[in-house]
Amino acid sequence: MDWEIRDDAPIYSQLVAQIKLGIAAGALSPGERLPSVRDLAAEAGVNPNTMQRALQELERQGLVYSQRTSGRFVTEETDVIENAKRSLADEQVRSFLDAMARLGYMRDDILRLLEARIREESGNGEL
Amino acid sequence: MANFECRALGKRYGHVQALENVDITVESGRVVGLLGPNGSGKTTLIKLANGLLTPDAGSISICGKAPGPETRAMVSYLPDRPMLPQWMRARELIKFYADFYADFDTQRALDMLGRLGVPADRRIRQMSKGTQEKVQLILVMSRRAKLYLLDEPIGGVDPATRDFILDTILRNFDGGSSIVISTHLISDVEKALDDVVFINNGHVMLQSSVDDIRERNGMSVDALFREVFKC
Amino acid sequence: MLSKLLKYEFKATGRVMLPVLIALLAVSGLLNLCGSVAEHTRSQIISLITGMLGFVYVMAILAIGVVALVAVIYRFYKNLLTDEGYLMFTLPVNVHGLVWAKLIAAVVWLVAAFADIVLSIFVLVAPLRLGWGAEFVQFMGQFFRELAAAGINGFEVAAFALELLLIVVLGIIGSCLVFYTAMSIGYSFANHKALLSVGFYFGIGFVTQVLGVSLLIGLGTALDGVEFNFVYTLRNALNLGHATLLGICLLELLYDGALYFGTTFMLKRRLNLP
Repeated sequence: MDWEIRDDAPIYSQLVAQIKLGIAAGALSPGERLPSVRDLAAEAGVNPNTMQRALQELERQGLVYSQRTSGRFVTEETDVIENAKRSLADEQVRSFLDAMARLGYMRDDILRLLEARIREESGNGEL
Repeated sequence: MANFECRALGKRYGHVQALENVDITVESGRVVGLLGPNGSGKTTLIKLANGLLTPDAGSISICGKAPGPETRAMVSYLPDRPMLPQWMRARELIKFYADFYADFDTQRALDMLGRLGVPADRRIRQMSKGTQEKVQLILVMSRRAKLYLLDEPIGGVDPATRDFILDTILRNFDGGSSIVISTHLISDVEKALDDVVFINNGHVMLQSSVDDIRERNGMSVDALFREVFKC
Repeated sequence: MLSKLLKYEFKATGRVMLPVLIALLAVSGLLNLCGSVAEHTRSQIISLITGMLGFVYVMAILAIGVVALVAVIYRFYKNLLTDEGYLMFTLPVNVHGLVWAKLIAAVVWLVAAFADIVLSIFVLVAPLRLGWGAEFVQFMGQFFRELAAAGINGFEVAAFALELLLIVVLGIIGSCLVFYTAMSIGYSFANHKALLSVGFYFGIGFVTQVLGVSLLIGLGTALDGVEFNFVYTLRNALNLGHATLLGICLLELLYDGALYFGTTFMLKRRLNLP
């Protein structure tokens, strides 16, 4: 995984978001064993305590589970992953709508622009 | 009991008050950044913790004990300067550390030396300045100490070396121990820290966890530092 | 821990001292070889080489003195008062261990240097007078027999030898400690550390002189007019000898003790590494 830590938000919440994204996008597949906290932390260049905290948060959300002896795994419950994916998508849509609203577009204009864009892209795809 | 604690600590050099009324607590398992501009008192604090200086006021304790031979067995110290005798070989130094420190892990030191590609039979004198610094760090991080006191471990090194150093530090410490890293290059170490202590003109300005600062101020510790110490 | 400190102390100093000690013996060996060859051949070149070797030999003796002295002073300075001090003073040992390791190594090397010079002289003259060993043993035997005849037994001689040895060792320790104390004080300052050390070295010397002279004057005044009824017998003379030597030991012990306290106090409480 590629880690990118921005300056404007807590590190642990960014780690949660990035691992969640990895799971939702399939970079981490269901049931896959995660590297140790220490290795993950070193890979991301962050403090192991912070990584530990992020993984605990993911555990709380049900995206990750731990087995006492063998480590941490990505959940195998596809509906949990699907939900996470859905909520990430919702977030994207919401921020997109916010940005468009700030530019002064109304709902109809936004839909028209989106449709045009999608048609254009699928048109290119057919070439 | 905290791994490192100072209470109302003060130190004067002649008329210069290097530290005044400093209270710091470092719990076990924490990585703490001691941040401040040059000459703010960071090195003085670390020297006091090692018993290299005697405080004028207040107290320091390491796992409940005042600095002395007993605490030195628990503290692994990286000074901000080369301290290794130039005539000694890397292998001899590993033996030296193993002789004096019961918590020294010879195999780990040899492994790290190998990963760095430094021949164990080379003398310190024959190494580049950067390699000397790395060997010094390897020796310090090969101990399983209760407290690591690292004074400017990434001062004046290139980005690759900086990553090696931070990686070495993060990979080699475990839950029961604590690390104090002093530096003025905050953006480089920020992600590695749990907590930060801002220190200026011998006074503690702020003590907080990194994520609390980011949450509260919406900016990195580095940005906050620049704001606090605007010059 | 002292034994570990000593191990590294001898490793560090032996690196410099051993080659010099061996070199002196080698030069003296070579010198007498050339000397005896020159005696038989009367070759100009051999004589020239012998002359040069003689010069080298004298220089080597001087060098040993200088190197030993430098090893004593410089080692203390380099290992404890420069950047290496960060390593040494953070070892899990106390200041006493650090200072004793330096002192013991210094005494051993200075005694070794002296023994080496004596040995080199023996090497130099030995082959020219074969059988000197036997003569020496014979001489010593006669010496002890005569002493015994005068009523001085081996025990007495051993006691005197021990007292003299103690005086020498305490003297060496004292002369090292003057350097150590002066540097420990000088290097506790922020600036002009070396210059101040030199100043303190002479300062300590001056104070010692003043105290010594005062002691002598005080003793003279105290004893002035006191009647001694010293009956000259061998026993009394020997006892007076022992008393004198032990008195010197005691004075040296006080002197060394004061300096040792000064050194360790400064290193413990006033250490100020650059």
